Amino acid sequence: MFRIKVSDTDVNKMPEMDARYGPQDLRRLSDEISTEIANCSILTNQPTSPIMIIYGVQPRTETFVDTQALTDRIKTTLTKTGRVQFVNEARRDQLMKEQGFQAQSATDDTRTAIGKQLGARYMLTGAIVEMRKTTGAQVRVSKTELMYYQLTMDITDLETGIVAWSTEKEFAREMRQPLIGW
Amino acid sequence: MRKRLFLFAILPALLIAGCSTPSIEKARTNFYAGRYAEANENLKELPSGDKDEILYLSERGMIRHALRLYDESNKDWRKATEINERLPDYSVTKTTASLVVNDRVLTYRGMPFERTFIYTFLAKNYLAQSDWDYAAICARNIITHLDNLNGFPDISYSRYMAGFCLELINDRGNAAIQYKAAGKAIQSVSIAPDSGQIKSTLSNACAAAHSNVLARAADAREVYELVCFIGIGKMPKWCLPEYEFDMAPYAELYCDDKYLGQSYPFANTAELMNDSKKRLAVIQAVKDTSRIVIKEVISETVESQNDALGGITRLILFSLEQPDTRCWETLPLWLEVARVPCPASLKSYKVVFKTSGGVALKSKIIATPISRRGNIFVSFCRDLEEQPSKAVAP
Repeated sequence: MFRIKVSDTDVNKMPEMDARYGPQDLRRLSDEISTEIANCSILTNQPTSPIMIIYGVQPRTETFVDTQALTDRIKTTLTKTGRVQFVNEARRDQLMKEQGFQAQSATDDTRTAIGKQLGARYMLTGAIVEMRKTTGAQVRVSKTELMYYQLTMDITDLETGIVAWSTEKEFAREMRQPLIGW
Repeated sequence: MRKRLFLFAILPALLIAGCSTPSIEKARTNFYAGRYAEANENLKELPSGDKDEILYLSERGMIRHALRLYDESNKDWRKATEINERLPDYSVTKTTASLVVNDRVLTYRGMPFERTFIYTFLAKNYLAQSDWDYAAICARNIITHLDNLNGFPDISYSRYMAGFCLELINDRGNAAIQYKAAGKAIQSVSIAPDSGQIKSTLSNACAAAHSNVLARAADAREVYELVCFIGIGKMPKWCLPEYEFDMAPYAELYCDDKYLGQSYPFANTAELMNDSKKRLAVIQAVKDTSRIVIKEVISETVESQNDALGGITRLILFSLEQPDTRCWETLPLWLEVARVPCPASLKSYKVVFKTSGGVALKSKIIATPISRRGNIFVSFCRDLEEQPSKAVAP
């Protein structure tokens, strides 16, 4: 009882500790979005898997939501399906640096060619909105906090600038917290 | 039986009152002497779960902010806010203990303005890192705090910061609301809600010169702006005097010897502390009276059993009577903002700190942090000078 106890937890059964966005939400939202994208017409109607670039999900929240974790997971899941390819925008600087290094120092047969990078056709963006409501001042022993989240994801055709596909997910969670603690 | 009663009354009080970590004072002294690395070292190990953990984290966050260790500073300030949110509004054990000992046994949460300032300074870190989205998250938290003041003072500086962070993510509607609210509380300047531009309402020479610069900039279609958040002075531990905003020191900004403009005071931490204490005065008076009555009852009870022991009990209990002066002392006294036109190729600028009468006190060249979003350069500085660090033991 008074000792430190460590144990593995099943990632599918992680409990919610509070009403805020947490790991379970990250997993659920990314899985749902990935499935929808993988089955959307702009991907399924293509003869070859199109190239996409992720420009991130804007956190319009009060909580410090790691939206990059969300897009990373979407990217991994979609890459596994083979229906879409991604440009590594996040590592572009390092990529250029490595190519520069290779151009200068690598042997002819192992050097990567410059100017052969593929351009993306689609851009994946989004926004996550958070709204919070708490109970007002009144005689009480606990306070209730209601959190509402809405995630919107868009795929924009970079050639036409048209939003080619869009979806949204939403969920709300309530938490009651005692005002008096030990 | 008598001894047991004595021990029951005194021991917990002594145990709780005796808990303190002296390194925070050293850290503050080092910080204000410009020895940031030593100050950071003083607070290297923080006692987890300590009643003053939020205070330690606030102070260390500021030290790391000055050291430009923004990631570490972010961790400290965010942890401080997380602890604060998790704390229950009332703790049975600590509130009871505070009625027998003093308010220092309570978990430090800071005054509402201090809690708002954590997000305000956190926003500065994210601005320095060009992380506009996270700066905007700080802005939303600032707004939540300031929209639920419950009688505590509003903070124009934080309002302006919130507005500015929202402006940077093109949320201009909400930015304008914050700029308007910031301007409402200060008499000496007017803030344009749509652009965040600051203009002096005073007709002194400096203000006139500043207006001329703005006019010249408008004529030349110089649309680049430098927004600089400036901290001057040290928040006093005992803050009683009234601060006149007309008598505030200020900073002048120069680039390549060209005058860009000046800063204007948006907040004074001593004044915020005074106003916050006034708001809590009645509650505090009731609590202090209750505590004295409880101490007197305990002493009388022990005295009825044994005169000498009662006297000692009274002596000990009342010697523990001291005000709770814990506060975030590395905060500046004056928090000012300068929003001035600047060249498109801004790489560094000079800040000249001046007294309210225009006497130059010191100057600094700022080359970092300067981040840029479109036509807006963002920077901040303080009138402290970092001293070369002595070798700090690993």
